Amino acid sequence: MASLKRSIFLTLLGVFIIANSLKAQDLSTEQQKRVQQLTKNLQEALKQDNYSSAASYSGKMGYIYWNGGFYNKAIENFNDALEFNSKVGNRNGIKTIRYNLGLIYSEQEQYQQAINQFVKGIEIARSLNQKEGILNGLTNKASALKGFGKHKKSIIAAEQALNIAKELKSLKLIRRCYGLLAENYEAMGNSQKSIEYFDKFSMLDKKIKKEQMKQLEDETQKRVDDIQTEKEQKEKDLSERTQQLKSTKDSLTETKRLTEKQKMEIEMQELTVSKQKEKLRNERLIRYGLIGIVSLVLVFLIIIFFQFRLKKKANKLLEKQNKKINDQKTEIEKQRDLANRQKKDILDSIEYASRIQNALLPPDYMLEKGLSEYFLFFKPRDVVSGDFYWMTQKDNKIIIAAADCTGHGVPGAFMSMLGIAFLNEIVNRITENKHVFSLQANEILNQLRNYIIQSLHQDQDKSDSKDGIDIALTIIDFNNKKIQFAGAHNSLILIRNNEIIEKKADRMPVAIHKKADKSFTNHELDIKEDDMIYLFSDGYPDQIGGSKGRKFMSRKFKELLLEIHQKPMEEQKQILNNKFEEWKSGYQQLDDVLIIGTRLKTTKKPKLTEKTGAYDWQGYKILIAEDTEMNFVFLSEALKNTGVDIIHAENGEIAIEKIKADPDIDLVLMDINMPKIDGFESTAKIKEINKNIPVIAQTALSIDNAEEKSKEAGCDDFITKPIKLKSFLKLIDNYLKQKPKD
Amino acid sequence: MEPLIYEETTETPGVILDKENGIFKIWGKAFPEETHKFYEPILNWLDEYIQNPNNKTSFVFKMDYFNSASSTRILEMLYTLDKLYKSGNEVIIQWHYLEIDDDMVESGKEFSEMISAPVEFHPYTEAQDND
Repeated sequence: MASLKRSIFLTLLGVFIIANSLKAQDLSTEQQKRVQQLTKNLQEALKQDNYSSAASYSGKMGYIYWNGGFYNKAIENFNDALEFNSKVGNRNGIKTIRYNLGLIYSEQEQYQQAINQFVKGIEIARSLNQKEGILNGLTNKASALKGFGKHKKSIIAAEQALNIAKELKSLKLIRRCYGLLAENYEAMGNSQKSIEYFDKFSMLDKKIKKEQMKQLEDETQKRVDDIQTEKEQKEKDLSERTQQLKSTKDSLTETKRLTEKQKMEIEMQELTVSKQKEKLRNERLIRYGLIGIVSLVLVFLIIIFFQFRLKKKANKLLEKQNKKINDQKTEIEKQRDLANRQKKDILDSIEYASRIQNALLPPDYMLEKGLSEYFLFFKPRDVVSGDFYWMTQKDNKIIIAAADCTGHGVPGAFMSMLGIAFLNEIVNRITENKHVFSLQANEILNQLRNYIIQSLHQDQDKSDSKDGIDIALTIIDFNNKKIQFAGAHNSLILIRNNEIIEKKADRMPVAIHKKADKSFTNHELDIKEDDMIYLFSDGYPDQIGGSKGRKFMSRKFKELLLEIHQKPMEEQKQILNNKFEEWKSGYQQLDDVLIIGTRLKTTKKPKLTEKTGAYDWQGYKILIAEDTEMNFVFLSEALKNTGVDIIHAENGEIAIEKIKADPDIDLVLMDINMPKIDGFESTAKIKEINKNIPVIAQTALSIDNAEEKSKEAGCDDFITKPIKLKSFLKLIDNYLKQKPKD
Repeated sequence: MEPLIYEETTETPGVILDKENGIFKIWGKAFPEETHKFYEPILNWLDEYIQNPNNKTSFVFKMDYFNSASSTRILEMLYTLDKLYKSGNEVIIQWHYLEIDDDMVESGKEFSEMISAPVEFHPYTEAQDND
C-alpha cells in the first residue's frame, strides 16, 4: 500500500514538472483562428465605438503574437490597445500595456524604448498608489537599465524596488532585486558588493525553491490523499452495502421459514376438507356418470353433423380455388404467349435488320469484280453484327476495310451502319472534290473519326460516349502496284514468299480518344504478284478456348495464316473455320469474327467502272491566273491526268503579259480576287488582245453578283469555289472541244 | 477501409483491393454479362481509396482477356490511379502478361500512353502461371 502511494506520488510530480516546462513555440492554427475571431470582434466593437472592448481585443491579440514571438505584430496590437484605453481613460489598462511593451522591447534589446515605457507605466502606478504596480515597474526598469549599461541608474531603481518588495514581503521580487544588484555591481567591478548581493540572492533562491518544492509536494500529496480518501469512501460504501444486503438476506430467510410453517398448517387443514369432499364426490359421480354418457353421445352426433357441413364447405372452397388457379393459368399462358410473340417480333425485327445490314455490305459480285482471288470468313456472334467489311472501287483503285465496332449484336450493328454510310460519304467526297490520286488511307480514317465524334457528340470528358470503330483499311493501287494502309487497332498482314510483313495499326480507335488530334499513320508499300493480304477484326485471335480456356492469340493466328497462305481461297476459309470451331469447342463465341483474305494479281487489272480521269487534252495550253499558291497547286493537280499544258500567272498583270507573249494559250482560268489588277479588269484587257480566247472566272460564292460582274467583264463562264472536280473538267472540256486542235 | 474481394469466374476477373495489406490486384478474364454492375463497386472503392491512400500503391493487372466494354472500365480504373499519382502519391502499375500474348502488351502500352503514372511490364510464361 505504501509503495503504491509512493509511485502515484512520483508520477504526479513528474507530470507537474513536465507540464510546467512545456511552452508554445509557434502561432498554431488554433491561435490563428483565435486571432481571426478577435479581429472580427474588434471591428465589431469599433463600429459601435466600444473602445473599452476594443482595447481588450487588441490586448488579447497582442498577447497571442507576443507568445508566438511575432514582436512587431504584438507591438502594433498593444499600441492599438493603448490608443483605445486612452480614449476611455482606463489608466490601469494603459499602465499594464506600457509594461508589456516595455518587456517586449527589453526582449528585443531595444532598451531605450523599454525604459520609456516603464517610466510612463510607473508614473501611472504611482498616481494610482499601486505598490505592486510600482514594484513591478521598477524591477523591470532596473533590468532594462542594466541591459542598457546604465548600471548606476539600474542600482537606484533596484534599491527602490527592494524596499517596496521587502515591505510587501514578496520573496521572489526581493530575490530578483538582489540578482539585479549583484549583476550591476559585478559589471561595475565592485566585487565585494557583488558577492554580498549574490550570497543574499542564492540564500533567498534556495529558500524560495524549497518552498516551491514543498508547495508542489503538498499539492501532490493533497491529490494522493484525495484519491486515497475517495477510495476509502468507496470501500466504506461497499462494505455498508454488503452489510445491508446481508441483513436483507437474513430477514428473507426468516420470512421463508415462517411461510413454510404456515403452509404446512394449511395443507393439514386442506387434507381434512378434501377427505370430506371425496366422499361427497363419489356419490355424485354415479349420478353424473349417466348424464355424462348421454351428453357424450349427443356431442358426437353434433360433431359428426358439423364435420359433414365443414367438408361440404371445404369442397366448395376447393372448387373455387381450382377455378382461380385455372384463371391464373390462363393468364400466365396469355402472358407467355405475349412474351413469345414479343420475342418473335424482336427476333423478326433483328432478322429483318440483319437483311438490311447484309444489303449494305458489299455484294459478292462486287468483291469478285474488284478482287480476282479472295475469301471472306464472316461469323457474327449474334444475328446482326458489330463487325463489317466494306469495299469500293475508284478508277484503278480498290479500297477495302475490315472493321469492328464497339460491342456486338444490335448496338454494334447500329455503329456498323454509321460506319458504312460515313465511309461511302467520305470516299465519294474526296474523289468528287479532288481526285482519285489524292485518296489517302489515313485521311479516310481521320475523316471517319471526325464524322463519328461529331455525329455521336463525343466528348473526351464524358466516360459514357466512347463508342467507336477499330478498323483496318487498305487502298490497292493496281496501276502503280502499291498499297496504302491505315489502321485503328487492326493491323494488316501481307505474306510474300513465306514471309510475313505486318503493318501495325495505330494504337487508337476511330472515336474520341486522348490522341484523337493525331493523324493516323499512312503506310505505303509496293506489291508483287501473288502477294496475299489479310484484313481482320480481333474476334478470331481473341476467342477463348483450347484446353486451358485461353485466347487463341495473335501470334498463333499469324502462324496459322502463314501455314495456309498458299492454299486456294476456299480451302483457307475452310481451315480457318475448322480451327476456330475446334478451338472454341465448349466455350461460347465471344465476339464477331471477320477475316478478309485476297491474293493480289497485279497483271490482271480489275474491270474498270466509269473513268473520271478520261479526258485527253494533250497539246492544249491553259493559263491559270491565280495569286494564291495553294489554289494553283490544287487546280494543276486536278488537271494533271489530262495531259494539258499549264502556265501560271501570279497576278493579273503577268496574265496579260503572258497572253500577249503566247498566242497558243487555249483557255484562261481567271481568279477574280487578285491584287494590282483584279480578275474583272484583267479579263477585259485579255479580251482586248484576243476576244476569242475563253476566259473562265473562278469566284468565291461570297462575292456579290459574281455571275453578273464576270459576264460584264467579258468572262465566258464562271465556276464557284470550292470546285467540284467532275463538273469542272466537263466545263473545260466543252470549251476546248469548241476549238479543236489541228 | 473494408477490403473488396471477388473470386475469379469464367466470365469475370478475380479482384483483391486490400488497403490494410497493400494488395491491389485484378486478374483473369473479363467479359461480364453486366459490365456496369461488375465494375461499379470496384470504381467506387478506388474513388474512396484515393481520398485516403497508402504511402505507396502498387496495382497489379494480370489479365488474360477483356472485351471492349471492360477495356473502358479498366481505363477508368487507371485514370483513377493516375489521379492519385498526379496528386503526388507513389503509384506503380504492374502490367503482367503472358509472354506470347502480343495483344495484351499492346493494350498495356496503349493504356500507359494515356496516363502519367509509371507502368511496369512483366511477362510471364505459361509454366509460371500454372504455379
